[in-house]
Amino acid sequence: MEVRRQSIIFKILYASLFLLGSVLFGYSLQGQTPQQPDTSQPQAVEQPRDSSSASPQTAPASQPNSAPAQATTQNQTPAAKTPQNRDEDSISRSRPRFHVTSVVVGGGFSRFGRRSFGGPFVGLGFGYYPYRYYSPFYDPFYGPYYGPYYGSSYGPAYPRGAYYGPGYGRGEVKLSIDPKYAKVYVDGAFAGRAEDLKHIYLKPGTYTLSVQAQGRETYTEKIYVLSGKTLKIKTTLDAEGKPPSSEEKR
Amino acid sequence: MQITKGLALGLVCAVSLAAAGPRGTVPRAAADKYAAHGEVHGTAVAARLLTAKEAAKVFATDVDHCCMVLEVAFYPAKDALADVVINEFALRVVGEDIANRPATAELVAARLYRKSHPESAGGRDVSIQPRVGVAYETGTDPYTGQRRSGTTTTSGVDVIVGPKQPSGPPYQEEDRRTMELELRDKGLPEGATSAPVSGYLYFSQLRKKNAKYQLEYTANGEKVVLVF
Repeated sequence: MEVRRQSIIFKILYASLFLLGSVLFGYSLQGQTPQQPDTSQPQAVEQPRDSSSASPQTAPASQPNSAPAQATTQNQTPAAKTPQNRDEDSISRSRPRFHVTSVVVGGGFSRFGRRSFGGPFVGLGFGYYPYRYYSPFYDPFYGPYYGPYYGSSYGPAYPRGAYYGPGYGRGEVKLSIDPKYAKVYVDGAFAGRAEDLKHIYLKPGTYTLSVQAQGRETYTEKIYVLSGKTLKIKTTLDAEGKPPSSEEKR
Repeated sequence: MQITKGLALGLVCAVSLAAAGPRGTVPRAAADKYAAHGEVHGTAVAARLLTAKEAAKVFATDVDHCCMVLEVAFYPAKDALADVVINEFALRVVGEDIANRPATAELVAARLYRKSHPESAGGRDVSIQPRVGVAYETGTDPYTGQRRSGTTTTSGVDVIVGPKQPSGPPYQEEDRRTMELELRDKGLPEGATSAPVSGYLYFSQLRKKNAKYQLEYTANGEKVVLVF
């Protein structure tokens, strides 16, 4: 009887500590935002050959949904952070949001020597939704030695890997360009050759994408990049004089 | 006199369009190339309703998640001006009384931005995640005093209830601005024009299955109705 009472006390103690730990853990996660190095921006190492190609050109009229004619470079530079909106950012990040988020149901089985114990368990998870959830569970079935057995799990609430992936906070531009030796420019800055440049991760905004190759028509398109989205651009540069054929899709 | 009038007309059009910046889409060759067309005061008005798939292909913005998108074109009569006023459009389900006016690019972008933030999206989401655990324990049996050890296996599921999760990561402020810009750039340009113009209109309602829609445009008291 004494042993059983001690075990119950231990269980309550474990559960209390675990709940406390979860709260602290959830709180410590608050405000953590992944930092990604700024590596995906195109490097301006080479300027287009002629000045006319550096500036955006008229979109082909044959493309019904292409960028408007005489599109001008309207690349959006992110607004400079004022002390005020910096403060707002830090306030919104540090505001605690704790919710009871999960119910845990399941079963367990223990075997110690010749004795076996089994039973269901039920628990409540809580913490840090929607960014992270943390769901401790507490095993109610009686363990003779070291009980209570407890466990926990936590993970990102967002199922999409891209959220914390290499392009976090950026949009992906997938390029499929023919010929492979074509040069790709983003806002007039050389980004790379088509054969080496399958993906570009760009900050959200508008950009002028230009593809050039010797003896071929130049392809110019105003693109809108949104974080977490993929923009697929497939284009074939035709020989000069022929109408261009291109396809842009998400 | 005719030449001066023509030049003045052209100048007015050029100024009004230049002030708005390059906007809209490239109009098709004629009004009858669209799904529906009609005429008001000599100006041909044509439109087509984009499916969600088409909208997803045309826009980087997920405009199909909140709105219906129509491509509208105006073909003014020769040597005449057509005044394009977006607020004169109304979309309704055929036979219903309630009609919707087009939403501005700012409004659509704000709606999508808000929708992507779970705190404000509203609704609940339930997700289920399995769990499996194996533990090893060792200790003294309180009944026999013998040293024993054993394994514990557990399995279960987490039933996670929380605010509705958006389909992707939440939009940032830059995303909202970009969406706004895209929707404005591709939107139907407003103002007086003597040349054909076309662009998109956004209506803050989701498409009902098998519903017939009518787009109405009123110019100087005269109304044209296009049915899709």
